[in-house]
Amino acid sequence: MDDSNATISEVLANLQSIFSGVESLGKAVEFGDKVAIPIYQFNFGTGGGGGGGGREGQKSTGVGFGLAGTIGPVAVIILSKDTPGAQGIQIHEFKTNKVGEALAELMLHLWEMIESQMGKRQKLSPEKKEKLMNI
Amino acid sequence: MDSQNMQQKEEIESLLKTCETARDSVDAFLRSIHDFIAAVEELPAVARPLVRRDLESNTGMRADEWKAFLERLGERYDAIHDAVQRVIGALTNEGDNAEVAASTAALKEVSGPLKEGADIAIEELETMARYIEGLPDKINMVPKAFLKAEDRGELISSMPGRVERARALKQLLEKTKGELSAVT
Repeated sequence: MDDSNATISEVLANLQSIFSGVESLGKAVEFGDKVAIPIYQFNFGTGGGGGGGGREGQKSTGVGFGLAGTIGPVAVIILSKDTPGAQGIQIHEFKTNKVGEALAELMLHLWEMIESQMGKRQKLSPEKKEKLMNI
Repeated sequence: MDSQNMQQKEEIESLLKTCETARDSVDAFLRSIHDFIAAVEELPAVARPLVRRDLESNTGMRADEWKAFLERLGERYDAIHDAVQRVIGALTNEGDNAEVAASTAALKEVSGPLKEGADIAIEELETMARYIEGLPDKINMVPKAFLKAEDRGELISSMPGRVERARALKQLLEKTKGELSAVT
């Protein structure tokens, strides 16, 4: 492996250190007096390889590298426009980084915010429900 | 047939028509619930429990409970319809007063649970109608990433018809309750 491969390895190592575990803010979504901002985490993995040799008298080298990564929401920041200062900021962390579970968690928070703005929840007493079921 | 029986017959025939219209109305609203259940099944797995919970928290009942209530209501209307026909038969055949009284008593018995639960059902149907009316605003607040534009448009356009079905059934329940009180 010649110097070019060494250089690529250095570049990849630097890329990995730059991107791995980076957390980034997603696009803000407004709901009335609240703003939800998802936080995403980037996890990048890199790999590289090189080759040399070839026919006599001919220089032959081969270089390859790969870059793969995952992006998943890890938390959501909720800002209340009407509440000044730190009290108006809430951060909800997701328990795992599995995308499906995180999305469910994110949607739950968003839905609760929607519900809070669309009116009170309806309670139906067990007695009333029983009468309906026996109508 | 004396004038009292004539009046009773007119009232009971009106009740019969109301029962028939109400039965159709129950079926129509039941179809809306089936459509809702099917639409929820088509949603992404992460959205399903949220939508189900939204219905329950805003109307007090889950979709399967709405389905069970409407099926029960349909059966009750069938039973009342049969009892009403027996009263009409007794009045038409100019049977003795005992036959008319017996069929009327049977109608009173079979319609008891509906008269008892009608006010709650009327209240619940109005709650449901208001919930459906508010759904377009709620659907518009769902981020684009979670709901395609065509699905959003289809959902919103289907809401007015569902509100009408809920309110139509509510009005027929009110009418049925009034007519039952007059004849039993």
